[in-house]
Order: sequence, then C-alpha cells, then structure tokens
Amino acid sequence: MSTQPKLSEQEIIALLLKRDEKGFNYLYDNYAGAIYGIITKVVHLKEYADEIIQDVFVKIWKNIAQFDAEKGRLYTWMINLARNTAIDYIRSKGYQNEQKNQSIPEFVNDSEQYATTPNVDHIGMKNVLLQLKGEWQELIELAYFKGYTQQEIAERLDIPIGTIKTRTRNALIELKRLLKDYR
Amino acid sequence: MDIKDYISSGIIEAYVMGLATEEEMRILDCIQKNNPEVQQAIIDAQNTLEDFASQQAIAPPPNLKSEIWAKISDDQASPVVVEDVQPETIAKPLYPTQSTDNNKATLKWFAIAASILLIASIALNFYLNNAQTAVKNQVAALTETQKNTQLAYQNLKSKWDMANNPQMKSIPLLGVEKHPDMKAMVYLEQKSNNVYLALDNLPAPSKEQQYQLWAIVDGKPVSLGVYDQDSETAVQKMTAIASAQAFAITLEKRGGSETPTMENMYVMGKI
Repeated sequence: MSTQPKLSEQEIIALLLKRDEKGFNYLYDNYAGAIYGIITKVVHLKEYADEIIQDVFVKIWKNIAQFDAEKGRLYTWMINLARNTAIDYIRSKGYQNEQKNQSIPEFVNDSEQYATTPNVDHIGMKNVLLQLKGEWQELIELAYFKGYTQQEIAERLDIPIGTIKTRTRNALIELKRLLKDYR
Repeated sequence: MDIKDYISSGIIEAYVMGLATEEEMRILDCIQKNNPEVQQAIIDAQNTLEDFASQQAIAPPPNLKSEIWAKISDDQASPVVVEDVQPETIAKPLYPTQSTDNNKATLKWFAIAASILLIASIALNFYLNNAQTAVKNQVAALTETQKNTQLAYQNLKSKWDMANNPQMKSIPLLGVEKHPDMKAMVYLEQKSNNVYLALDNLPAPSKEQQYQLWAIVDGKPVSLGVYDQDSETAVQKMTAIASAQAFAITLEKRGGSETPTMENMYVMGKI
C-alpha cells in the first residue's frame, strides 16, 4: 500500500472535514483498491468501474460530514457507499439499455458471475469467494453484489427467509475463517 | 427470544451487509446501544466484510487518482451545500439501495406497526386479565371444596373418636312417635360427665330457633344448653351432667328456654 504513517479513522475523518488534500491522498492510497475491487465485483466491466470509483470518492469527500461513527466504521461506510453506488449504476436505465447493445466478449454475464473478472488484475492471491460452498457463494453474490433483498432472494431461490438469514450468517462465519489465512 | 438467538438469527449480518429492512435496522440500532454482545457481533461482521474487501482489492488504473482529485478540487470551487447530498446513499449508507423509501412512508408503516402492537398488547392484557380471574376463581372454588372436605373429615373423626373412646358412652336419641326418622347422638364421658351432642338427622331449624338438649334427672328436665347450628363443629360440647337417666331434644326459641316445650320434643334416649 503506502509508506505513509498509519492513521486512525478519526484522524482520516478530521483531515477530510478540514478539506485537506492529505486526507484524500491517504484515503485513496489505502482504500481505492478495496473500493475498486468491490465496484468491479458488481459491474464486472473496467470502463464502468473507472467511472463509478470517481463518483464514490467524490461522494465520500462531499458527504463525510454525514458519516455517523455510531452506525459503523468509516471503512464499512465506504464499502457500502461503493457497493450501493455500483448497484444503483447497474440498475439505472442507461446501463440496462447499454447492456442490450453490448457485444458479447466484453461483458461478463450472469452465468460467469463467479469467475474472476478478466479485465482487471487482482491484488488478492485467490478469490476467496470461490472457496465457499456453492450456496454461500450464490447468496453473497445475490445479496452483496447484486443488491437483492433477503425477501427477493428467498423468493428467487424458493427458500424461507429465515433460512436465507442463517445461511448468510454461516457464509460470513466461513468467510471470516477463510480470511484469517490471508492476513 | 434471548440475545444469543437474536444474534444467531443472521440479523447482524443482514444489518452490516445493508440487507436488513428499515424496521429491523431501527430495532437493532436500539438493541445495540445497550448490548455489548450485539455491538461485538456487529464489529465482528464488519471486520469480516472489511477484510473481505481488502482481500478482493484491485488496483485501479494509476491515472484515476489525479482525475478524481481534479474533480474534487473543481467541486470545491463552488461551496459545499448539504442539499447537494444525494440522500439515498448518504443519509443511510448502510441501508439497502432498494429500501430507500421516503421517510413519510416509513413513518406511516411505523405508525401502523405501532398501532397493531398497541392493539395486540391491549388484547393480550385483557386475555391475561381474564385468564388470571379464571384462575383466581378456580383457586377459590378449590379452597372452598378443600375446606368443606377438611371439615367433613374433622367431624367424622370426632364422631369416630367419641364412638371408640372406651370412657365414652354413646346414647342414641331416637325420634318420638311424631318424628320416627329423626336421630341424634349424645356422648357421655363417664368420669368427667362431659356431654357431647351430634345431630344426625334433624331438620335444620329456622334462624329464630335452636335445638336444646335436656337431661332428665330424677324425672325433671335440666337444660344442657342449645346446639349451635351455625358452628362448623358437628360434635358440640354441652353442659356436663351427672346422674342423668335420659336425654331429650326440643326445638326452642333462639338461646333456649327455661323449661322444655314438650310438643316440640323431637328425639329422646335413655341411658
């Protein structure tokens, strides 16, 4: 990542609130990869991801005052902001229309959704998601990267919503275990 | 539901992933304020997703950083106004994109939910109240039955004890000609001359009247007192008497009479 001293989230927030470029630099150097990774998981295409990441950083910069530390950490907030922005993007009319005219080779479609996106290079060693059980992969894909509600997933998979909830929990517990090996 | 069940239901994960409904989020926000276990579970889940994001990181194209900074600097030229903010992503960044309904609708649903809860609570109250009254009545009825049974037992026991006491002489008083079915028992303790009376089959007297026991001593009636029909004790101790030859019961005015009203003599028995 970078040779900058490690800043706490409060320190980053303070810099951002002061509109200090150092805040932006630190944020970008430390979190742009994760944010870009998330966006890529949602939109799959580099050109879209390049556009969305700009949006996300502008939003973070503009809306940092609205960040509520009581509801979670800055990193989590940024992850969700990136995820939501990307999901909003693929739901927008323009994107949907474009998809209809998209030439096939450039678009990673639904059936290949678990494959590593070909257009970008992973920093992470392996796609940890692929090591999860199939039903857990599917769940995280649908819920986390496609933005379906649990109710929608329950209907789509024809599984009770309670099962969806506990399955999501189990998927995260397994994910946590797998991620320990990457630390 | 205890807090462990709540945590293991998967709600924390849904919350952290932005999948929980607004209602679920509000409930969880409330719970987590006072519950370190829930707070920790949220932190754990956040850590997992943050680690996941870090692990899945992809380096963005190098030119993007300066492009973004240029954009931000441009924007900064114009003053930052809160109204610029896109509320659907900003005000509730943890919320699912598709549940960013406007607040009015949410409030409406909350009002409805609150009303339903209130009604349910009132109904439950009524139900519990009724159930409690029913249980109270049942307990009262059982207590009454228990008391009566106990009483019956005590009375039987005292009669039984009298009958089995070798010192005790049982003298049946039988109905006179007019009242052949009537019956009472006098128990006479021989050493002390104590007299006990039990009415076996005598009609219940009116409130103004009482049965009075007489001992016949040398042909003359001697009052041994009245039988208290209001008492729960069936075998009642009367005035002690020595050298009685017979006993009789008459129905007298309440409190008893000086002399027996002979036409109201119901039962009699000789020693």
